[in-house]
Amino acid sequence: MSMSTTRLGKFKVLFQMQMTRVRTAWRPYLIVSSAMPLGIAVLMRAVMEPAQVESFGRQIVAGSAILAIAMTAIVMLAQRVASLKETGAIDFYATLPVSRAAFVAAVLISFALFALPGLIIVTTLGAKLFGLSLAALWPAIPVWALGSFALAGIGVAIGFGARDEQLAGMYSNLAMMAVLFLGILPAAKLPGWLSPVRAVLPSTYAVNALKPGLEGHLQSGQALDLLILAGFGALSFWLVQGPLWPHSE
Amino acid sequence: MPGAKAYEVRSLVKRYDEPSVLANDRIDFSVESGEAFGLLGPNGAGKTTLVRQLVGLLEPTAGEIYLFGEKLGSKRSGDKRISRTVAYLPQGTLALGEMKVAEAVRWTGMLRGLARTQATSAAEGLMASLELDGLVDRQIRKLSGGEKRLVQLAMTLVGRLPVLILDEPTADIAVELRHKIWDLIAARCREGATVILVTHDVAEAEHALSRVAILDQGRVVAEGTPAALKADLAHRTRIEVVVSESAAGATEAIAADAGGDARVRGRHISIWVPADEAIATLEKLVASQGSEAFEDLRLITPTLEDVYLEVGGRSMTEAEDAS
Repeated sequence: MSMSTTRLGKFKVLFQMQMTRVRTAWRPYLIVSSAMPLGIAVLMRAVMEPAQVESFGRQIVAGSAILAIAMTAIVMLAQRVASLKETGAIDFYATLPVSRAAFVAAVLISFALFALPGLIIVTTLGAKLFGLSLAALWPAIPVWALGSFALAGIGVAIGFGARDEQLAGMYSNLAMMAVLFLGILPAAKLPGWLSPVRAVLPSTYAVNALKPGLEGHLQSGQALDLLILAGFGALSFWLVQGPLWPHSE
Repeated sequence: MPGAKAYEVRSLVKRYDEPSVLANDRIDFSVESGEAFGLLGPNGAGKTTLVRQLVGLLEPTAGEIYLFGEKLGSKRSGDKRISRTVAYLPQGTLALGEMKVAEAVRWTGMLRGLARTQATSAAEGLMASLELDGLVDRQIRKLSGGEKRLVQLAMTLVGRLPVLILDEPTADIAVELRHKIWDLIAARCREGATVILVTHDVAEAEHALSRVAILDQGRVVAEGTPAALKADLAHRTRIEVVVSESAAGATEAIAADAGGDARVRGRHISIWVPADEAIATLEKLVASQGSEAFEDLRLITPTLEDVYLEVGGRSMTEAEDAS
């Protein structure tokens, strides 16, 4: 019989601790993350001509689905982390014999799970709305896992960096707006000077990786998008458990 | 290191930027293993800044900290030597309210390395000691402020680390339970644990601590056992006078009439006199002013608050108001 909790056991405990958040916050995680992206998809569908639905439907549904992840993984997570920091809970974890990496991974994975219902709801209802296929959507699984990990990294970074929960809310909403406009609107419709911003947003690659599946087939470029997304996830994870960890003066 | 002091702090300086504040100014002290040591002082004295450096949450500007004889590095955040040795109770309420009481304590024990069964049994014992056993399945956010503080205290005590650093552990806690906590701290010390307790509560310092350092404006202004610190004032007695409302206008005159070292605050007068003259001074006051001039008259044996007044030049309450 084990006489002490192993590293894996400690990680499980950290994960369970983060998952308790569902007890009080499941409504916003489910409803807010689904309602706004779905509302945008409905609005876009209502004002589009049939020809535009054909051209832009995949972009809008994929963009809305990734927006659902961003609502949870950026906005709600940033506010949660800022609140943990403000009340000293981050200090509590920092004074326990657990690694920062384990704590950050537990937070990122828990919020990836919180983002899942919104992603499923928006993708399925959005596809139905625009008459798109759900037959080749298995890449949505790595898109969810890698995309939410990468976007949650942004959420944690904002939460760590913001002075308080209110400012974290403001910054994360700005980040979410970038995901919204640069993800839902097709690249061809955006001014050229926004291209570099699109290129550094993980949501761009998440949307690109999700789109082909909504047409009922897979594309070779999806693998590259997923790879880039994994790179963003690894980079954001390294940043938030290392250089961006909230050191006091 | 066997036989080493639990903590040794040498010339510790902490300066904050923007705005520039010297929070700790060349602080020196040491804490023996198994000792209940207190950092006493008003809000803003630099106590919390000091303990945050002891647990690696703040980087000192200068100076050295030794934990059981080992010098802690300049990059202390995340130092596993600290987290495996020191349990820290910070001030305030943590945003961990979704957890249930029992799981919060058990999980913290597991994060400190206890196996699940050990953590469960340790959590049950602590919750019984702190009278939390009726609340085990309640979410922390649904508890009162005092109950939340008790849960955090249980989370700090679980795992039985060799050093406990408790920042205002009895804040918001009912008086009768405070004694229970002080007893728990004393029991841990008897078992060999070292306790560093931060407080601005003089009664807590007198009851729970074997030695205290009094901090004022970032400096240690006095250090010793509560009894030794008070002994320095044993040759003097304090007379506390509350002048009745009808005689309020004569407060300054009454203070002057009393002689000795008198301080006036509203209708309150504190008069320090040589211990052997205290009764005579009291009788003189009543004879000259009449008993109806007074709402209250008391002889006070020196407390740590008086020691603070003596070394810091102001009362704990005045210092808090100023900070």
